[in-house]
Amino acid sequence: MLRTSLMCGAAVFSVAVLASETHARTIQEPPLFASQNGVLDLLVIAAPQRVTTFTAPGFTPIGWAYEVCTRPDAGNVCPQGATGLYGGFRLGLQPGDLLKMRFVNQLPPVNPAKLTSYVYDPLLALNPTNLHTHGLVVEATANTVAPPAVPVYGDFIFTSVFNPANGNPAIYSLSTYNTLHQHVDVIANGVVDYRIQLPANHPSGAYWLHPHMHGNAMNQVSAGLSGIISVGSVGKYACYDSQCNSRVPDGSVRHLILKDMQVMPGPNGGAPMFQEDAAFCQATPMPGEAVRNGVCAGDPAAYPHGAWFFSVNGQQFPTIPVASGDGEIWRLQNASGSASYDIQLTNDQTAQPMIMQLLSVDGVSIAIPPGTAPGDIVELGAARFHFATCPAASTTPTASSESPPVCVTDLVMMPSARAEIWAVWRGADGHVTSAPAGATATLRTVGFTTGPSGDSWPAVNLAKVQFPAGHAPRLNHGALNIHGDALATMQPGGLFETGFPNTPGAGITGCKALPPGHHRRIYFGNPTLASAPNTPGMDQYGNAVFGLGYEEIDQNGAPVAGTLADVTMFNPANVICLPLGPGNRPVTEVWEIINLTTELHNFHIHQTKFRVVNTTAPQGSLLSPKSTQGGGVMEDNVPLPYAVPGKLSQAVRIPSSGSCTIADYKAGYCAVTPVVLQIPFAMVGEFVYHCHILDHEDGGMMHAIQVVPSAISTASGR
Amino acid sequence: MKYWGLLIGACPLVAASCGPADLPPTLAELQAAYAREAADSTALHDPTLTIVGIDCAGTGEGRYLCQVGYRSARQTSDRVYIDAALFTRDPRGTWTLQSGLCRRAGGETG
Repeated sequence: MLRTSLMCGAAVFSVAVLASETHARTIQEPPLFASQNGVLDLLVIAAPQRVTTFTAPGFTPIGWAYEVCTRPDAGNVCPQGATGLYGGFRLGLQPGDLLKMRFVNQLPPVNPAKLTSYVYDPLLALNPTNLHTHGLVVEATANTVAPPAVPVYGDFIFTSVFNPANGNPAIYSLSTYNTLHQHVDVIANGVVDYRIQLPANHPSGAYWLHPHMHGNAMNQVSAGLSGIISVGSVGKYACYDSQCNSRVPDGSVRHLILKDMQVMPGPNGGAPMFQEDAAFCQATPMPGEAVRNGVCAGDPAAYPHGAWFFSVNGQQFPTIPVASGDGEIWRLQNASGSASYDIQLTNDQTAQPMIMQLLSVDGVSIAIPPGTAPGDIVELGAARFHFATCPAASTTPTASSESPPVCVTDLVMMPSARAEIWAVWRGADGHVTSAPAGATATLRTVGFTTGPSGDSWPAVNLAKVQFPAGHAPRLNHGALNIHGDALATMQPGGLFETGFPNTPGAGITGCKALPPGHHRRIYFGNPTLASAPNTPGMDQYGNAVFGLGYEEIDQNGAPVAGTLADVTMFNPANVICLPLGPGNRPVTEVWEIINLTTELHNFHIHQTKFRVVNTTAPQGSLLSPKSTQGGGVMEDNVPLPYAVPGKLSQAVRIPSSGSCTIADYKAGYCAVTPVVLQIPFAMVGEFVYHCHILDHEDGGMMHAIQVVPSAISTASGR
Repeated sequence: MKYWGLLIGACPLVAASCGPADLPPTLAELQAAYAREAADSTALHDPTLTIVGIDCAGTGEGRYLCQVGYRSARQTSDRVYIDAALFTRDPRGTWTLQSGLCRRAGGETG
C-alpha cells in the first residue's frame, strides 16, 4: 500500500507503444573512487542532474544525483567534468579504511504536490538531505565539533542539511520549524563532513550510499541519489578451485545498480514523479503491448503517455557482454525507493530461468556448513530466493571449512537488497559449459506482488546478456568455492565477536541490557492516529500511515509488564537503548518481528547484520537462536510475511486499515508469521530500524535505537 | 520560496538598530538571549544548554541567522548539537531569540 492513491480504478490499458531505440548500448561500470593508503577523501554534492541515458524519445528528465570528486584542497566545488551521473558511482574501500566525505546540498526545492510528508513537515519542501552508508558495520557517531567549524558525523542520520539557496529554515514559523528540528541537527549552510571508520575485520562485499532524511527519503532516492560502496576483494572469499589456488579476480566483478523513475511527458525532458505509484503501469504486459525493455508505458487513464524507466547503472536496457567463459561475479543492488524485483536470468533460447550460484547477501558472503539440510537453507534465505539444486553435486567441496554451493533461479529483491551471483553460461543440464554462438539471456524482473493490501510491481526486461561463444571455462566445474564472511564474523577475531573494544565513552544511566533469555518483539502495523480515530491506518488527509510497536518478552514467552508500546508513527524521542557487553564486546539479542499488516514489509536495521533463526530449532542447529556457531546467511534487510486476518480483526472489519491491531493478534484474531532474528550489536551510536520501502519509512514505519558503551570496563567486572 | 508565508516579519521595532554599529552577536550575548527566553518558554527550554560555537550572518534590520552549536548537560556524551536560529537585536542592543535552539511552539512569536 502506498501512502497516496493516484491510480484511477478500472483503468483500461491501451496498447501503448513506447518506442525506444532498437540498438542496446553496452553497459558501463559505475565510475570508481578507490581508497589510497587507507583513506578515501571525497567531495560529494547532491545536485540536479539531467538523465540522458533513457532511450525513449522525449524523455531526458532532470533527476538528482551525486557529483563526486576527490576532495579539492580548497572550496566545495568539483572540477568541471567531475563524475555526476544518475547511474551512480562506486566507492572502493578496504577493511580498516577511513571514508571521509565533504557533503554539500545543492538540491532544488520540492513541489509540495510531490511530497506526501509535506502535511507533517512543510520544511521538507526545502529539500534537506543527509547521507547513510547502508549496510556498513560502523559507528553512528554524532557531531562533536562546534561552529564555525563544519560538523563531522559518523554514519549518523539524525541531521538535516539544507541548501541555503532554498531558504534558511529558521525564518519560518516556529510551529513549522519545531516539527523538523526535534532531536535532529539543522545545518542551514548546506555543508557537513562525514568521517566513517571501517573496522579492520569488516566483511568484504557490496554496500551502498543513499539519503536518509525522514519524510523525503523516498523522493530523493527515486530521483537518483545513490551509489555503491564495495569493501575488500572478491578473492578474499571466492575461488575457482577447491584448494583456493585460483582466486576470483576483482576484474571479474560487475556492479549493477537497479534504479527506476516514473516520468510524465512534458517540456524540458519530462517531469519525474518522485513519489512512486506501483500502479503507474500494469504488472504484466497487455497483449500487443510493446516489449518492456527497460520501460513500461503509463496507464493511459492516470498517467497518459508516461513512462516508467527501469535502468541498470542508469542505462535503459543495456547489453551486458560477459567477458569470459568463466563468467562474471554480479553484484546487484536494488536502489529503488519502493519497487521490489523478482530477478531472473532467462535463457533466450529456452525461455527458462538459468541457475545462478548465490555468493553473497547484503554484502556478506554466505557460509553454509556442510551437511546443512536444504530446508534449513530455505529458512535462512527468508523468502528472498528461489533455491535450486546446484548441478555441482559431484564436485561439492569436501573440506570441513568449505561451504557447499547454493544455487537459485530467482532473487527476490525488496528495496535496499543486495545479492551477489556467479553469472556463467550453463548447458541444458545446468552445468557450466562453453556457450554456443549467439548465446544470450535476458536479465529481468518477472514482477512481484507484496500482498492483499500491497502493491504489484511490474515485470520488465532489464538488460540483454551476451555470453562469449566457444570460450571454454578454464576450470570445468559447477560452482565457485566460497569461504564466507558470514561465518568469519562470528569466529574469534571476527567483527561480531571482538567488536570495537576501544570504544570510548561511558555507560548511560537507565540504559540496561535485556535480561538473559528475554527478547524484543517488534510490531509492524498501520496505526490509528488521534487526529483520525475513525480511519485506522489513515491520517486526516486520507494518506496511509505506518508505524511500529514494541514489547519485551521474557524467557517463558510472556510479555514483560509495562513494556508494551502500541503501533505509532516514528517519534525520535522514543528510543530503545542497550549497552555493549563488558569490555565493550558485542551483544547479541533476539528480535521477533511481527507483521500485523496485510502486505509485505522489509525490515532493515543500521550498523549491523542479522541472521534468521528459528526458536523451535534444536540447539545444535544453525537455525537455533542459541547457536554460537554463526554462519549461514547474514542480512541487513528481510521480508516480513503479511498477516492473515480473521473475521473479527480490524483488517477485516475495516479493510481500508490494511492492518490488524496488537490486540487482534493477542486475541487470536489475526494469524501472523513471526520472523525471528539474531542480531549482534557491535557499534555504538544513535541509529534506526525501519521498513526499507521508503514510502513506508517516510510514512512513519521507523524507530530509534541507541547503543552505548558498556559501564563495565572488562569482561571480569568493573 | 512561495510555500509558506514568512510569519516572522521584518520587526520594525528593530529597524533603528541597523547601521554601521550593528555588529553580529557574540556567543555570550546569544547565551544570555537563550536564558532570557526561559521565562516565556515551555518546559522544553533546557536550562543546561550551553552554547559552544556560533556562525552568524546578518540579514538586515538587526536580524541574524546563526548556526549554533550547543551542549546539554542532559547528554553525557561530548555531542555538540547543531541548530539554525534567528536572533534579533532591539534598539537598546538586547538580543532576542526568535526561533531555534529547541524553542517550541509555546513561545511562538509569529
